[in-house]
Amino acid sequence: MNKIVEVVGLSKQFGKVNAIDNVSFTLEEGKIYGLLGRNGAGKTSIMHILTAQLFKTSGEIKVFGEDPYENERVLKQICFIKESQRYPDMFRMEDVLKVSPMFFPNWDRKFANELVELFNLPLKQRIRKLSRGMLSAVGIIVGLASRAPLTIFDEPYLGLDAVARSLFYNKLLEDYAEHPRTIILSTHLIDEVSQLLEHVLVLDRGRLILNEEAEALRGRASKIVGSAAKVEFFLAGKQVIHREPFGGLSSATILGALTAEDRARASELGLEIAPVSLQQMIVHLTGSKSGNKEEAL
Amino acid sequence: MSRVAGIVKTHLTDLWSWAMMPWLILGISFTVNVIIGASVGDKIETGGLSSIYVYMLVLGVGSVGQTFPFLIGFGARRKDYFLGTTATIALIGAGSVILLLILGYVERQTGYWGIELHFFNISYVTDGPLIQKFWVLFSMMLHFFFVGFAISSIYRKFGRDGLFFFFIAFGVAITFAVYLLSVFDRLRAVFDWFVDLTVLGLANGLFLLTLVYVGLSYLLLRKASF
Amino acid sequence: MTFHMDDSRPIFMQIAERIENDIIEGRLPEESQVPSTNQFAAFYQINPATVMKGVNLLVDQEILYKKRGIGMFVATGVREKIVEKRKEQFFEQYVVTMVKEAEKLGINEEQLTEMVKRGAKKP
Repeated sequence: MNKIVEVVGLSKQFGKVNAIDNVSFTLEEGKIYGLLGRNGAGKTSIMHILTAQLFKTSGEIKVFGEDPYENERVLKQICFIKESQRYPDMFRMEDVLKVSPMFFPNWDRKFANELVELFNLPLKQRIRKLSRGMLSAVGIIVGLASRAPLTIFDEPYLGLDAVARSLFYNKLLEDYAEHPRTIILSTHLIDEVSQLLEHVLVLDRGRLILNEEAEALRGRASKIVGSAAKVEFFLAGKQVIHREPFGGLSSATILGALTAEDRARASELGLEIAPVSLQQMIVHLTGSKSGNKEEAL
Repeated sequence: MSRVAGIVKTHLTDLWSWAMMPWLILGISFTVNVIIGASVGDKIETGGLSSIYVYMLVLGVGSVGQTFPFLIGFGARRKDYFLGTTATIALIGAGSVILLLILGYVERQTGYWGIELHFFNISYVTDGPLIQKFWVLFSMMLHFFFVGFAISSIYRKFGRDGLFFFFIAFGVAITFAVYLLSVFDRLRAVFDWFVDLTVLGLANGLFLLTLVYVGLSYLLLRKASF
Repeated sequence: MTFHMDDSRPIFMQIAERIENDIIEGRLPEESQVPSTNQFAAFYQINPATVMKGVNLLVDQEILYKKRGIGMFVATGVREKIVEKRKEQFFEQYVVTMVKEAEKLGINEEQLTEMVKRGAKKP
């Protein structure tokens, strides 16, 4: 497998704040990655550094084997759809369609036009006057039609309704199947995209806390429910990522596969074992206490 | 190369700002001058032409904010952004100056619009042979644009506070320089030097200054982040 | 999202189960062609690599086989095989737990058989 991105010991400080703290990972060719974590976890900073729009404090990064800064060979192979992408005030969708092929060598005009129709985008309207959802659609169209070997979507579906989001997933998978490439989906809403991902990177307060195949993570966490004392007894020696008391009951989420022995013991103690979704597991890992729930709504 | 062309194209998408606004402004300025000229009845020479140059400064300030974040977001190199923007202003500048020269010719042929209004022909500035006229008007246009461009680049790199401190530092430096000149009784000499400066010398000097702004802006934008 | 997979279990196993179900219920007869990885991926909106993993699981169990350049096919005689496997799972998953629960409630064997019969009659 070709390594598309190699990051070693990357750190970024804003003043005294560590936005990215000693992060290392590699991305392989042709996979769909999820860059997950709460808002402010450092996702956007990493993507900006990968695309040479922000400068690292220390560490090493290589994209397509080279330093991306001012490097045309690298930059023309990347399409980064920023959540905050700005367009000149006078720009309309048709201008985006006109200019894009000059920056993305694999641009597919026909596909782009097809997407414009699918997403019902007005060609002649100023982009700055579009709704948040439509602005997201502009990004999605550019991201898909650019067919860049490394395509990065940062919170791509803000403001899109369920139909449009589903349309995005369909088109993404369809086009990815025909033109395999490396894709990064960055989001704090894990639930919707988790099925699309082959590999998951989770950031928490600037640190990379999880870097694994999505399938290997599903079923890794379990929830143990029962009387508080018995639950505590069962938890001895296990990695607990979340605890929730509930009257005399207690519910705990643990990481790691349960052995047949564990299950037998739980059953003896009268404890219930429930599966935990990937989304739930990541929410627990990245600390669900403050504010995250409102965002997830 | 296609990326530099893409940057030129991106700039020129806003044809309104690049090609129409300057002429609209100049047109209004001209109309006002005509009205004044007609009522005065004497030979008048106004500075109305400067409006297009001031506009170029504003355009220089505005264009970075409009296009730099967009184009860097689309994966353009900073160097290409620079080349593309310089190419755009050279293109627009040359076109505008040619138009100014044609209007100057018309002005002379029509006996200064029949009202002795010297709008496009200004003594000192447009004296001399055609090629010199072109160079003077052109280098002034680049100069104004890149003054604006450099100011905006400072803002991109250092933010609002950076720009604020830059202007304070700039003001202090000028004050201090003038003070030193007066202390050493050199003010008069500097003044005379300016008076003796030929228009060609002025144009060349402005061009050199422009190169300084270009270099400065480039260094700033190379390190500007988001 | 019409087909949301259960996100708490590996999706490739769910894909394999769905294909097996289709074989048992006759939607995928023996020697018929199985939809391609990409068709599955688009239909269920899941990552193609995940689908591939599920399909490969069935290839390893010789339930599916690959015709080079054409695609995946259901092997002959596998319906029986899957049904046998499922019966085994059924016993473990439902019968054993049912008997345990019955013991807890003091239901004896006779009563339990009676209840099963009653359950079978329900429409």
